[in-house]
Amino acid sequence: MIEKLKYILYFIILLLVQTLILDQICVSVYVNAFVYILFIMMLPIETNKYLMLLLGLLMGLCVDLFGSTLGLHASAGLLVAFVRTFALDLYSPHDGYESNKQLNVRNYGYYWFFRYAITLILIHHIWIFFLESFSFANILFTLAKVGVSSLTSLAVIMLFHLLLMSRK
Amino acid sequence: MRNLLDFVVKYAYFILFILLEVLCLVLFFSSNPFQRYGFASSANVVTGAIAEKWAGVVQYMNLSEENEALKKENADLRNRLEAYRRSSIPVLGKKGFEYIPASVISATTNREKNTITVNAGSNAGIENEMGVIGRDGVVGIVSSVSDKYAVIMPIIHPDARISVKLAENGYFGSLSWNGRDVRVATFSEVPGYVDVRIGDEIVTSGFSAIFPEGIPVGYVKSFEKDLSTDFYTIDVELYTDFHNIKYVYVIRNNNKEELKASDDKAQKKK
Repeated sequence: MIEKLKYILYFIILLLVQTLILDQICVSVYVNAFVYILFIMMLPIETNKYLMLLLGLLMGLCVDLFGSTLGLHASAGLLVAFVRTFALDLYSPHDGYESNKQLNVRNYGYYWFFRYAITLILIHHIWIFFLESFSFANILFTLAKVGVSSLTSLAVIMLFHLLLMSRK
Repeated sequence: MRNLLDFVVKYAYFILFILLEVLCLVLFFSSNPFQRYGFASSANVVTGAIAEKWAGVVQYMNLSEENEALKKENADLRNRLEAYRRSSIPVLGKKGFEYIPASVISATTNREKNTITVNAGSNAGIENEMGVIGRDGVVGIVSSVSDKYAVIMPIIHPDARISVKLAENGYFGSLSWNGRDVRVATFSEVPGYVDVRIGDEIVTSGFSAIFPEGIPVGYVKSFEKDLSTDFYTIDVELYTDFHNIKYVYVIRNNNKEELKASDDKAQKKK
């Protein structure tokens, strides 16, 4: 029960940080930081995969409602939730994942988290930015946005991951 | 039939993912920039209230700065009122443009499709497709409204088109945004024989009934003539600083109904 409460709290914190702070900051059109996908990244390893799809969708939908971008982040959240399983398999440690250990840097190391996070961030950002511009005409511009924003997101996600992860 | 069932059971997870993804994309591509229902945008009651509370907290941090700006604007308006009193322009009827004040509670500037949410909605008399101006000039057009909130499609949105003209000689065209620079929009459709100079002021044309005529938009930053079509493409430096926009005025055109009625009449006669 307390576990569930913790993840509900993560959901609310990350949603509000995303929509009330990060979405309001503007450094340049190239810099967009998306921290809300950290929620999907940190869900317990034993989470039911159908539930995970729905949670990814729900998170995206909430971000959409704050930003009037109906469907954009919902589709991206859903995609990240879907891809997560494969990313976890891809970077699986030698002795596999343990169900009672949270997916964080303390349990699996910085190198593991970095690869896992950057994979999902890149997939998410490529999806978002190409869907938003919906053309390959400005492909260099869009790719530059993907590159710069991915690094920004990685830094912000790392920060919030360290802040939020379980103490023990 | 059995095979089909087996298939569905085997790939249920994948099928569910595809179905939901298609649903999301349909939502995304069918959402018109002018939303008919406010609840599907940031104008809905829940997100609007949260953003408004938060904006209230943040506002305290630059209250004095905002105060100073308002004072300046007030003085400017008093001066203009004085000039207007002295002039002998006859006032045309009672109806006209009405300005509805609103505070910005949320704004994005680094997206391809930017939006601004304000804390006034249909209860304050705001309707879809009304013009919005700020302290320095044109901001955008109302794109969706709920009871208490409204979403504005700013100039820096690819679907925003605003009818503008060169203040000096009245040549008009439309203003749009290329998605790159928040301070610069593109003014097109000006014929090549017009004399355009850097620094020329761009104002609203007043043709669309959304904005009154002559509201400042920006000035000519640079221009280029397309040799094949003989039309200018003019880069306009916008007066409105979208990074730092705190309050706006929504423009209600009280003549709009009449204009529409006479328009319809003219259409019928044809």
